Amino acid sequence: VIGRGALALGAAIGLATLASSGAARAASFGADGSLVRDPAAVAWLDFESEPPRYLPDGLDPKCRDAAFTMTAGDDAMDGASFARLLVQPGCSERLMVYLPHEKASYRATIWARHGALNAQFVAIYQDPQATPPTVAKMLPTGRVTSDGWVELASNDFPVDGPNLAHAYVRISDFASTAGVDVDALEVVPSGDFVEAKSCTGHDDASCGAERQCEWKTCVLPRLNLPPLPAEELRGPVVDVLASQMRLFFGGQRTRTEALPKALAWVESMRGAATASAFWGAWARGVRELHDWHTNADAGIGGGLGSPKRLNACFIEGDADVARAAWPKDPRYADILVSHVGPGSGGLAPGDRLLAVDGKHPIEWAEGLGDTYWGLWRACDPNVHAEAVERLGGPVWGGALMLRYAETFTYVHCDAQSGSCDETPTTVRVADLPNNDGSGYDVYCDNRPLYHLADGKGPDPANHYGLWWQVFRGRIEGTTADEAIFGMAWDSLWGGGDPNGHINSEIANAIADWKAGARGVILDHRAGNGGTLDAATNVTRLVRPPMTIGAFRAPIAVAGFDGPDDAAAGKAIYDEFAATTPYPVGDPGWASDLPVALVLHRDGSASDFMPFGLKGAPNVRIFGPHATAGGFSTFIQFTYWQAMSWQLASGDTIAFDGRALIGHGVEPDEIVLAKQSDLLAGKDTVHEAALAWVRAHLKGAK
Amino acid sequence: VSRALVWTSVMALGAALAGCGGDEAVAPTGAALAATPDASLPSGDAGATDAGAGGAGGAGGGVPSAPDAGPKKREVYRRNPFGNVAATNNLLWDGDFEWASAFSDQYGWIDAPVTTLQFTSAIVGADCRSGLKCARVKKGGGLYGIGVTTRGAKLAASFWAKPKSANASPPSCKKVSGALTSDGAADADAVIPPVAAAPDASGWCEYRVVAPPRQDKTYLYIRNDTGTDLVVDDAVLVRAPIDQVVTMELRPPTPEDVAAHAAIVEDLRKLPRGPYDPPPNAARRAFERVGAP
Repeated sequence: VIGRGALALGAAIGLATLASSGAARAASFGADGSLVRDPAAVAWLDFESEPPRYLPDGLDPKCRDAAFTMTAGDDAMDGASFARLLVQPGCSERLMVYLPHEKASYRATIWARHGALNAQFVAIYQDPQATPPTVAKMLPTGRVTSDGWVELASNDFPVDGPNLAHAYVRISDFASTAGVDVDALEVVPSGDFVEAKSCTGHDDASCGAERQCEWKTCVLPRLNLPPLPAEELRGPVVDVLASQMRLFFGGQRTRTEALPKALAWVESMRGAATASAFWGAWARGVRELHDWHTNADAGIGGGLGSPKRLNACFIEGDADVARAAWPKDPRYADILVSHVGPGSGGLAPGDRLLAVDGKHPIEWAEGLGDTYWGLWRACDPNVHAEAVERLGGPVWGGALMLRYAETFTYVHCDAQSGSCDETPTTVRVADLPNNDGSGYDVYCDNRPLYHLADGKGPDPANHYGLWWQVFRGRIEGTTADEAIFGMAWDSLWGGGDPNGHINSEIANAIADWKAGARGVILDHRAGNGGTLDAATNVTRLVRPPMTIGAFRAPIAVAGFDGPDDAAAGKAIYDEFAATTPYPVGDPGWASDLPVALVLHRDGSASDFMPFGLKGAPNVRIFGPHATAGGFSTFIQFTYWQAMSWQLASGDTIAFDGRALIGHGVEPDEIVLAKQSDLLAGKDTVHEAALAWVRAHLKGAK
Repeated sequence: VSRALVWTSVMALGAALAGCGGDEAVAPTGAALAATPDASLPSGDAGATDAGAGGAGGAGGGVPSAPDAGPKKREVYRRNPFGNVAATNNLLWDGDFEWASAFSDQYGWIDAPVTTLQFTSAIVGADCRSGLKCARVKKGGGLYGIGVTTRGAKLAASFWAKPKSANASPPSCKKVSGALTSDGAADADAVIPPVAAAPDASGWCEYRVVAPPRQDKTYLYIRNDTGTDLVVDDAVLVRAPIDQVVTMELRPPTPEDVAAHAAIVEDLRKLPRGPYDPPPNAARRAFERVGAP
């Protein structure tokens, strides 16, 4: 362990007297172009000798060797040498910085060239449970030099000096071939110190205007964000971001209904006075686009987590047992516990989640969108499955209640008696037991149970594997004579390769079913999309060939709001069906094989697939509601590994002229998971699909 | 072989237009694009102007921050880190390369010929003309900038390239070819000629054209025949004012033009035609965990 403070100062490090807080400062340049350190700087690395490294406990052995070489050069930014950084994939270099034993706010700057530098200033504390790390991203200021140096700087970040364990700059290179040169790290007092503070949840206003509550901790979004653009640039930056939305975003429904709301938020950026307010308003605008493919991410709250555990998944359902005492919210489905793992906070399958922080769970989750950048929404405004799926689950897959809720209220129901408590139970998230790490964190895939015989499905203890694997086999509880087979999978990533993993699985399954099945159940309840070829391949089983739609994405004509009516849509279909088709079917389709498709939270290619199956002669679709309606593709933008955003672009025009985006595929039978079934260990939607298949078996009289 | 010939021919078309009448076809600089966003930006020496610090432009190099006092170690410029934000309503997804990432699945530029959707040519630093990112095009290689069209309006296109000389001869702007193109048959490719045959004092060449209205989704195609690496930056495609003069050479397509366009269509049709939701990318997830110490 390297000691803290001035004791460990080496030749590469200077320590200046802490200056009083004030406006942002940085090094300047002399008349000859030499760097002149800011006299107020409290720490710097000039790379005249090898800087001390910080090696965290548990560091991957491949990351232990120094990832830089000291390099002498007349063109060093500061002094006569610099570091040439070449970091292995998956590693970072961490260079120690020594800060005063005071509570203060700082701004850090560093110079890099010959590539891009991913840099964060990190402060970790002696009691990391009491004081989470401070991590401030460093992003370009706009200062560059004729010899290639580019300045990166953080926004102001607080450091609790007396409690500091280590401070360091974490760096890795990218967009380079031979490494990135790094020099002249400087830390200067800037801004006002704020104490670390805990909070109770999303609705806790005690964090103040500049902080928001993430994982029970008040965090400063600005630490993850670019600086507020200079005043003269602010308007033009807003103009560019707004024009991206106006020109490239969406299709008919999303442009008509959502785009105006989004643009209003973007316009509000012009009055923002801080980086958080500026970029926060823009990200809010992105969320208002209400689109399955559209999002913005800055990693706010990233790296935090919860010592608690709420190892449960929730599903939209029908609380037929607990309904009498607690009526249904007319706006939303009931929310039930689907499946749980160790540390479920007392929740069990079949329990009904009545409220989170006093609101219906869907209202609560979708209401997080005022500050939560990661809110995921369907294009179809009537679909809420994305929010429900992320109420629970692991920290890496949702966990919205652990992250943002102060309390939740549920009605416990007993599987033995099939009855529910007379009074609901309210649990404070802070009172949940700590995570003891036992067992698995369950993944939420909208499947209370799996139904392939001989245990061929995913492990029911964790629900892992459906992101990429395809499981198929005979349906459990059916006879050999019935020959009912099923497939459970969530990816349609064909990638244009007919021999790729997913396409091969689909093709092999179809061949087997044609040869030996009398009925098929396709379970695609967490459809993560993929590519059109895989969606097409599924449809080859069930219908003769046709071009069911024309894919008009990404958008081809700036700001195209979609066809005015079905006739105009049909004209678009006629024009483009040959060049950008969504083809379905196959001449050798199985005309006498019943195929049930079970859906729940499905988008993109997982919209196209059911759209291609719907209406086929022997297909019936079962689910609680429509799919997401994400009938487009997207464009991605990234700002220096700090902030990324993705805009959906385009639409799909059906054979009859309908513009499809925002209109999810409706099931043929609306079936919700019944609470009574969950308590009895049954899967309502699967049971409905199985009953239909059994009634329509191939070869039955 | 046929593919190589086709690529050669489309560039020969560009070079021919630029060298034989192309200059004459260009309306006077500034006048041709007077109403376009980047017309307000300083032209010429990218290393000695400052649109980034003082105005909304963001292009150009920037004013040295210290007065000239004899031999200098370096000049210091101020750039707009968000790029050429004066180019509002740019019909290219990311004309200035500022929003580039190697982790993007569908970004606004693609290397040509198309082999992967990941754009690997972005570079960072003072070499760029506007903002902090631009592209390095390898010798013999090219780029497609993805854009949109705007029906019923003429289109004004421009970009900047900084050629080096592969031998003792001075660099020439004519070794870089640009065109507005598409993956359809409705529009003729519009060659974008250089404004001048030789680079300006800072080594940059400007390319401009005003094209008639286009029906199809529009791409900006740039090819590097300089014999060495090329830096490209600050591409702008905007709706041109109704009274702006078309500078694209209008003539019937030659067989070479047709073949060249067919090659482009074949190349562009390698792009995904449908939704594109790849499984989670480990590298991207690693960056998303950036908050972890």
